[in-house]
Amino acid sequence: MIGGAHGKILHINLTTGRTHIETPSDDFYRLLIGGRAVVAYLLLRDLPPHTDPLSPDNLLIFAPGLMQGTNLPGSGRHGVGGKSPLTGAIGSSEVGGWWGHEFKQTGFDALVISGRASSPVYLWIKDDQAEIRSAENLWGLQTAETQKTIRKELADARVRIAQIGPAGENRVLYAAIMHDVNRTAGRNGLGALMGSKNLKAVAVRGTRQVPVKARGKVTMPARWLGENYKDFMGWLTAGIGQGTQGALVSQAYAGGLPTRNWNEPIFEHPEALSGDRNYEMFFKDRDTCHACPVRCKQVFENPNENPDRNLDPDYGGAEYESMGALGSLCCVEDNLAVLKASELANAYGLDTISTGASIAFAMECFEKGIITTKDTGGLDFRWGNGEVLVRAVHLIAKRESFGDFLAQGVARMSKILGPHTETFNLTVKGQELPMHEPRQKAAMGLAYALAPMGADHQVGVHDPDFASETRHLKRVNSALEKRIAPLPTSDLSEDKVRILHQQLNWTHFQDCALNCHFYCYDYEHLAEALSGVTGLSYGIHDLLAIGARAQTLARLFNLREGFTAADDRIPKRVMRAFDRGPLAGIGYSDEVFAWAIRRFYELMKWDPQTGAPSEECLRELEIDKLIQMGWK
Amino acid sequence: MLERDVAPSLTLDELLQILKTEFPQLARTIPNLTVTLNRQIVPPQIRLKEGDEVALFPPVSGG
Repeated sequence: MIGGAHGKILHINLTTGRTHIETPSDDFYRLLIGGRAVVAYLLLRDLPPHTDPLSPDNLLIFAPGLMQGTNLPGSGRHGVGGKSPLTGAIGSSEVGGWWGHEFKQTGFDALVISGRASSPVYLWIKDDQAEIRSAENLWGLQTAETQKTIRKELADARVRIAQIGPAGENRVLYAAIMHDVNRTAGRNGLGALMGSKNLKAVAVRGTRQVPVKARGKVTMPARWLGENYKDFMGWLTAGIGQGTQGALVSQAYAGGLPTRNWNEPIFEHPEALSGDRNYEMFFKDRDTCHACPVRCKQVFENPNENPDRNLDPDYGGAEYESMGALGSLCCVEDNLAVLKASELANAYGLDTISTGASIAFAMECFEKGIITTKDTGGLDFRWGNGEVLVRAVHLIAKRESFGDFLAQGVARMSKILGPHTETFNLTVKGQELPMHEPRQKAAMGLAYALAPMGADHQVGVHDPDFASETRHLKRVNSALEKRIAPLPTSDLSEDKVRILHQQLNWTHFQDCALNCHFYCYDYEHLAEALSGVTGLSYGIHDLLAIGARAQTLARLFNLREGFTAADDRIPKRVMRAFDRGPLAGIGYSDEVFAWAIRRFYELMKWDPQTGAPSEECLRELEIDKLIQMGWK
Repeated sequence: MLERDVAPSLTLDELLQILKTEFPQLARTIPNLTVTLNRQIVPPQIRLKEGDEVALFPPVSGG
């Protein structure tokens, strides 16, 4: 048996209550390793084409990888997937915290849930024993209360819990799956999928050691990381930086902070939402994920009798994406309102990016008279209204009043309101854009278009990382025969597409290895670690092939579900140049963008017109072997 | 905020080298920061002129 694996996948059908254990082959583990590749493969194999994402037939998959449970720094993550209720494409979301490590120690490598329980339930998995328990008493509870109740019921404070809040129960199409209350598998609406199964939570506790073939090879990169992370990741690190939210001001300074639904070139008062201000007013502590010394998470607190001005430290603090989507995108400068909205998203189980983007879309419609107070239930959805921002999050999660409309996400709202709102429908494949500006990061725009899950910033290219001789560029060049020189951030040349190609393979690999994207490992570090865990020999190009395989499997799934090359595009608004601000004059023509997409297809050995993977691609990535292992 | 008089036609990259010498505790951090000149991310070979504003900030990539 390959190292890093227990050799068992647990399948549970909630309709019948039956479980069965699959014992995959070594090839399964060698080729897929975990996360997105496992999700895509299982969906292709076991999910009938064109399944309604909210039907009992859809699969909810929890997939750590071979690295989880090994204590490698940065491995405190896991993947969650299924067919996305938000997009209809592959749903694949990764999350940090402690759940993935604990689940892996139960003795299972993945969990696949099908069917629908007749009443609310939760799963309790302790080592290799799985039990379906009633969740009638938990339904309707917010996430912190649910966690406390389950831990009390199981009489074990160390149980780790993945769960939905009321938003998932009510099938808000961008509901999240929460872990440890404040770690979010946020994107793609997987919380709605979990809610559609009447599944409130998955509680896990494990004592099974994950087998590691050559521990010394895992220790080497871990030691290197310990010696270097403060230099490379100081901006995130406790005692040095303020985590991701600490970077908001500098993003705004260079025009990279999306503002007024992507229609304003600069956020005028970023200091109002700054890390400095948040720290001065609300800082309590830092938090971290399993086996991570960085401690990039914030814990904020603000005792207040008004529940909408109180910050509960149990829910942590907001990340950059949340401060942007709920703050600058909606022009809200009240930092407490933004932090509260983010906290409520954790309590109700919502994706902060899609929540903020949905509210920003509604604000633009309101300002333009497309919707009025008659539609909003009397709420004044003008730009910058922090009180309405907080109120809207409550309404969305409960699907009450105007919140029921907002709960559908931007693409569906735009379709209902009519084609005159298409200009401000900022989505890709139906998923709202994250908080990285394509006019500042050209290849990120391409990555948004190409992400099989819809617009995503984790599988992307942050162009400033490649604008000078950075360690990112050195890493990319280490796998190329023809070296690439630093490139301007707005560049969309052949060399930028080559960076995109390799970087997408790398980031998709990271979502299979479930290695934190912030980590500063080079290719050699993770090749060494994966080789040590598995007992196999992985080189740099093997890692990139795993990423390419995950991307290609996800693409095959999307093509099967009816997506085409025409879906690989970004909204016109973020291709059009601003006439002022730091990004003035930077825009992209349809022709250049289409060329870059086609060129990326070619580098992937996908058909340059249709984006369909070629026979050569399938053979080289050994996907033909996976097909022989059988899928529908 | 720092103000510096620098030699004519100094490049951005040369300025960063000066800063590394002046602040040795940041020498290993500076190469990992994004550098802007007058709010725009530019190549390090660019030459500075009077009144230019240089900023260094963290490479935000997610969260």
